[in-house]
Amino acid sequence: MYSRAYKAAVALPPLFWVALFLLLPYSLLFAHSFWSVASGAIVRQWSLHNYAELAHNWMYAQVLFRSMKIAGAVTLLALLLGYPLAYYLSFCAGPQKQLLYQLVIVPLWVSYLVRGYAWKTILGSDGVLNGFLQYLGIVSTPVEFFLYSPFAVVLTLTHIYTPFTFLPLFASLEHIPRHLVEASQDLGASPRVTFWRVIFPLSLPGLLAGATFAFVLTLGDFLAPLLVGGPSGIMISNVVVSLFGAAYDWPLGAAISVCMLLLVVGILFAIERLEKRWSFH
Amino acid sequence: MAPLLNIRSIAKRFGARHVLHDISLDVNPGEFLTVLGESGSGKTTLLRVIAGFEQPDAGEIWMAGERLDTLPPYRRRVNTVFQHYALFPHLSVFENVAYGLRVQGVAKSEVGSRVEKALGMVKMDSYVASAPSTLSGGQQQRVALARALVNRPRLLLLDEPLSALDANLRRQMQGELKTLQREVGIAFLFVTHDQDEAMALSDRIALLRAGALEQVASPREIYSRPATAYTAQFIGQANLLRAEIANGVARWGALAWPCDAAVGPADFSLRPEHIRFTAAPPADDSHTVCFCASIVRQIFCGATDLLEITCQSGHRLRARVPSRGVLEGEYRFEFSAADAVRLREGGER
Amino acid sequence: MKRAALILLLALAVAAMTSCSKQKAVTLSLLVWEGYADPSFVRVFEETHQCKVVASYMGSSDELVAKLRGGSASNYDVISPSSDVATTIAGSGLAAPLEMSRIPSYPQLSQKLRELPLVRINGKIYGVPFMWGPNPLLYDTSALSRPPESWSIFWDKKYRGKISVWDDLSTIYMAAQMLGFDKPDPGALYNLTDEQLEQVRKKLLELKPNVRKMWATGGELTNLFQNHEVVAAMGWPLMTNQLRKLNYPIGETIPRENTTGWMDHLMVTAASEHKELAHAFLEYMIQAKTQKLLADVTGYVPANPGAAALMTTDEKKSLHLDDPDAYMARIYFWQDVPRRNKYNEVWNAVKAAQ
Repeated sequence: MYSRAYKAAVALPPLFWVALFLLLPYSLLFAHSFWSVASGAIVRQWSLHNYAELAHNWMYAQVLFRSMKIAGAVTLLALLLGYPLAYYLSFCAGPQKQLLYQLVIVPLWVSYLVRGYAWKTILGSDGVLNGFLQYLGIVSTPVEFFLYSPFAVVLTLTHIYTPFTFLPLFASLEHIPRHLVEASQDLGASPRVTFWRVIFPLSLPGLLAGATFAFVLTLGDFLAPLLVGGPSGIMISNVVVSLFGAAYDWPLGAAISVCMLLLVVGILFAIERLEKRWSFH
Repeated sequence: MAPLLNIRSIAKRFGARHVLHDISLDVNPGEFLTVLGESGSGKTTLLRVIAGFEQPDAGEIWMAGERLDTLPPYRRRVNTVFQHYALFPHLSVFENVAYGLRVQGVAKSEVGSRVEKALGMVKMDSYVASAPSTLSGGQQQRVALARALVNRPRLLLLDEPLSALDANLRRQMQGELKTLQREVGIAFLFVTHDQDEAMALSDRIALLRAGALEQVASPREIYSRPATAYTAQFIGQANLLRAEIANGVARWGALAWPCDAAVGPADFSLRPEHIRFTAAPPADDSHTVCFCASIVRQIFCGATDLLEITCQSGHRLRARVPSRGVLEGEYRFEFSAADAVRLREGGER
Repeated sequence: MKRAALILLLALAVAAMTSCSKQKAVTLSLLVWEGYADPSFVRVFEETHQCKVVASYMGSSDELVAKLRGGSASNYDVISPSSDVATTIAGSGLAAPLEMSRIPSYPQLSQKLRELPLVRINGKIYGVPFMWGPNPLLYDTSALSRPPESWSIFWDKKYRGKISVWDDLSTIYMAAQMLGFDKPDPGALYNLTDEQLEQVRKKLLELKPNVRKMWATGGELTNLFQNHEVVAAMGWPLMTNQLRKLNYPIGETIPRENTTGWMDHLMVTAASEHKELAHAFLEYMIQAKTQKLLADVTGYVPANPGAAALMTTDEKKSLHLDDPDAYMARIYFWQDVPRRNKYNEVWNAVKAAQ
């Protein structure tokens, strides 16, 4: 048994950490969202007018909706890429599994910015892709929608977040007992039927976790629209950045942040409930 | 009667390790055949080769006139009960049992009645809606059995299905399994490392040793006429007597009995229970071997005592006799010459 | 002998340590427009004052104000606010009043610029005039053989996806000029009514299909030209200079509608811990020879007319120093925008629109 003093001593540092780096910032954010700004100074008067502004000016809803659309597209693509990859590694790779796993993980160590700029070089009018297409004679003038477009944003974010969907998917596939796959085949199910009736349902928790990563991370992204996005491609975080930065309207920025926080917490909550329902081990 | 399953010279290697050597074995329709062996003897691999989870390196497997080893597992009319049940955790008991019928496109109306019947057979019909994780080990085993049997396979493979159960439940399940097998009339190929289980359940036992078949026979025959020293010792207990044969007589120390084998050394197996006390002086009957021996150790086993005795020549034997109190000193024993079973040469590998 | 060696060793060690501590120089931090911290003139200052100059670049006037207000004022010693926010910064206590005795070159600066009321509050001076220039129209001479006469080419369907504009309120001013809101009073650009702003918003929405990318930094716009992503943009003379050095076929012009421009001041932040060094930096930066070097790098017009004496006739001509008044007449200098938040809101709405 540990003494009460010992328990307190052990519990204190994490509590302190949580208070300092989580509770305090969130409280500040929350408080700011009810304040306002007048002639360049923040006025600490409580009101709901920031939220009223968000409800009234539907530009914010529009940008949020666009961000969610992009996040949805990235999530879908990251899953479509990440799932077959994870499946192949888990079920078919054999002795190369470890090596391939490392190869998938390695891009995570490369800076986000480097990857963003890499796509710029590839997709630009003078870029590798357009050069190649022109060399092949498939197009005569550079294809412009490759860069500075929603396409480029979705592509870049998919590239960046696919490892994030791959990891939980791979973990959940690795956790499926192989004798269940054999049992299914033994009962007369072809590999395709086995996949849909056994492997896929059992990988759902990993799928959900991966989808959550991709969706939530994309929803909060502001660098990709800045680097490769077009003039109409700003996402909700760009609005927050500009409110905190250029416009010095911290209260309105905080109000949007609080809304996004609630949205994300809501998503996580729903996902956790689903995950519990779909978890069998 | 034509065999249901016909295994022809199957061999299997994992890397440099030979797991199965030249296995040939038939399974007859409706038969309960047990593949018995120590762990690492290759019995599970043999089962997996039949089910289709492993490809043999050599040999063929035929079932009812159809070549089996070239088919993928899901095309073989064989079902398996796995050691750790392998129930699908995301499906209810009903759906687990219905799985095979559904993937084979059996009509919905038929699925319900067949699943219920199968679950009734294993007395699990009141658990249809349960999740596998809420069931005990024995219940899961029953569901696994129903899931396999509901497909009406011609052959059921059982991979140590009872090994994860505790002793009491295990005995109970053994009895039920045997009854069930009789009822459904499906051939069972049962894998176990437990010789008592094999003896209790099987019509025939195939004893596997280091990837090769040592002996295939009915439990009674394999017990009473073990072919090798390994069989004799693996199934029940046995005294191994290394005798010398000359002039139609086998001699082991001071003991001698008639034997018409060729001159030279020969191994015999003598079960302890075939040695008994005798009061009578040695009769002039060459078919009964009489000798005096002193008791070295007495182990009480309930209805019987296991005695370790030393003959006057110094040779040691074990004898099993009905319990009758503490025994000390020298006694007179005898056994029938016919009970000394001559073993095959080259038993050691 | 042994003892002598030991003493020598000790002496060397002490010498090494003191030289180390000397090398740990003071760092002067700048938050300025791109081009204002070029090594060609900053290095001399670092050497003569035994310090290190570290520069961060601002992407817009709003960013400067937000950074100072947001609590990072203490991270910077010297800032270079433009005419639109100079008064706000001077009046909000973010900048320190200057000790003019430490800036002996101040009287050399153009009298007209010194007399502007922008940075004088309660008799105190908060900034020194530094450089000024326009937001000209830059164009790729390989794509446009003649200088465009009007900003309206930005709306020309021919240049769909080939235009870049600054992610800044300057683009709002430009659109307002296109709509003629600068007539008769150019100052009206900085005091647009809601109705006018609504028209500006619509005008800019029409521009969007032609915009490939809105640039946020000078480096980004030079890249956009170099990678042939755009053929025309609103930019700074700095980029023209940089692209010419790279032998890129770039042209610069002020269209007939005229353009907006800026007058930058140098200020010392109120929170600076190196005010003495910062004053020395201001003095150095407005000296005629430094201003000449600055003009070489940026292509902006120096506030110290003495710099002209160090230039060739061609250099003077390209900076319009031969007739500065006529040049200045085509530039509407940025002014304080009283409703800056409203302008920003309109600009955000333009960016957010599909």
